[in-house]
Amino acid sequence: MKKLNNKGMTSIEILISFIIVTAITISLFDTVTNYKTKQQIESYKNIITEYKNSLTKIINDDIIKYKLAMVSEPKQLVDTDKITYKMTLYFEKNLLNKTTCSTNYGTNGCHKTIEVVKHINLPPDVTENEKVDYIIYPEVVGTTMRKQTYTLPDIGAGYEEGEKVESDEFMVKDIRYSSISLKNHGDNLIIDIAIYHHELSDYYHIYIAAPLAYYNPLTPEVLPFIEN
Amino acid sequence: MKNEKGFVLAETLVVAVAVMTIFSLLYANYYPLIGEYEKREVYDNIDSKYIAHWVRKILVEKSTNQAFTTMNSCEGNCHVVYASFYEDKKKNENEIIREKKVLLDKTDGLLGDNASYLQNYIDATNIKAILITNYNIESFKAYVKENKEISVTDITDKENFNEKVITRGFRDYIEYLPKYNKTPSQNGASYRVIVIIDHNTSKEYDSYATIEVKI
Repeated sequence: MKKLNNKGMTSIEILISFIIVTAITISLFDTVTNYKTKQQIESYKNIITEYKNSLTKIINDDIIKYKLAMVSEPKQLVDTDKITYKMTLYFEKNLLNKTTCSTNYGTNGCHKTIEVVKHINLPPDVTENEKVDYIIYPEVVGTTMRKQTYTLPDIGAGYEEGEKVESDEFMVKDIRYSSISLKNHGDNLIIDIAIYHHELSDYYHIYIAAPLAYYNPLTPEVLPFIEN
Repeated sequence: MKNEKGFVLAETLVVAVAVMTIFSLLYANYYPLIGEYEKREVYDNIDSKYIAHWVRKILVEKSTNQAFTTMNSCEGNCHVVYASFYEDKKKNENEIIREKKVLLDKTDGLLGDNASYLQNYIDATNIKAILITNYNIESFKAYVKENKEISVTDITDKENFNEKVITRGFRDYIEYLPKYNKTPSQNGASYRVIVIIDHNTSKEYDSYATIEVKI
């Protein structure tokens, strides 16, 4: 009786299988790499959205709860390494009672100052923390108010530590503020801070738009009680 | 003696092809979901939601509620309060300016002396359109799905209204929204305000938000 070869595969079979597996692996390589990049970008988006959402909510909560009355003229302070944008938000709380505003928010205070700090022209030797753009917006703790710094989340530095940087290049974080606008547009507070990432451009904004003196029109008698 | 100890190459290939086909089909069906997810980033995001909140507040508190009571005039249970779009115009050979064209502005009629509140807010936030519908948007959804334009008798330039205000993106958003017909609003709301906001940044896009209205 003739004995059949049933103990394994021939070399041709193995070769064909190997070629097929290689072809599939090569064709999938690009797809997998592409998905890995996508996954990374999505995680950046999540971090940015979380930051944007929490800050937007904090500021909008104040505007609605304490009733935004008016805003100061926006100020722009240019330093050698940073630009600071400042604007004070005055709330109706106690303002209409003609009480002088103070920083003691919980008792008789009635304003909060938002400060947006954007770093520019940074030399290569600055430390990591000094490179981060941030927003200062006060929070109320009990009966006092304290400054709270909301730093842009860290999603990687533009340059590795120790890496040589050309003198005309700036050390920048992968994420930063690109355009900052604090203004009073036709009796509406408009805060528009674009968050930039080279993969996402400035698609994400902290965007707040609220009418001023919505509840009670401000009378000239109230104005002297607002500190500049 | 028969070979009963394993698969032949042909069998393996057939199975592999079958499995590959299944995976390809799965991939083809899954891939559009990514695009769908990216599209939904501008649906009811926090900025748009707060803008819708203020629009609702102004419409309800500064008007005599005419905006809501005159709703029945519109087929598909919608009522357009405001609609505009931007048109690029050549100023000279090198310069192009964006010109705002207001297609419908009922804010004056609805809010009377208080119209400036809404008008200023619309200008400051670049609101493209404000629509009021019933809380239950089933009929409005059906109307939009049939690809009909929204029936608004006051608008003369309907071509621009359908093309530039009620865009495909807006239809997608309406289709994405639930019908809100299973349970009534927990707050007893009867109406709904839908806002389209025009964002003119490095990447031009519209965002959408809806908020319920209790009169």
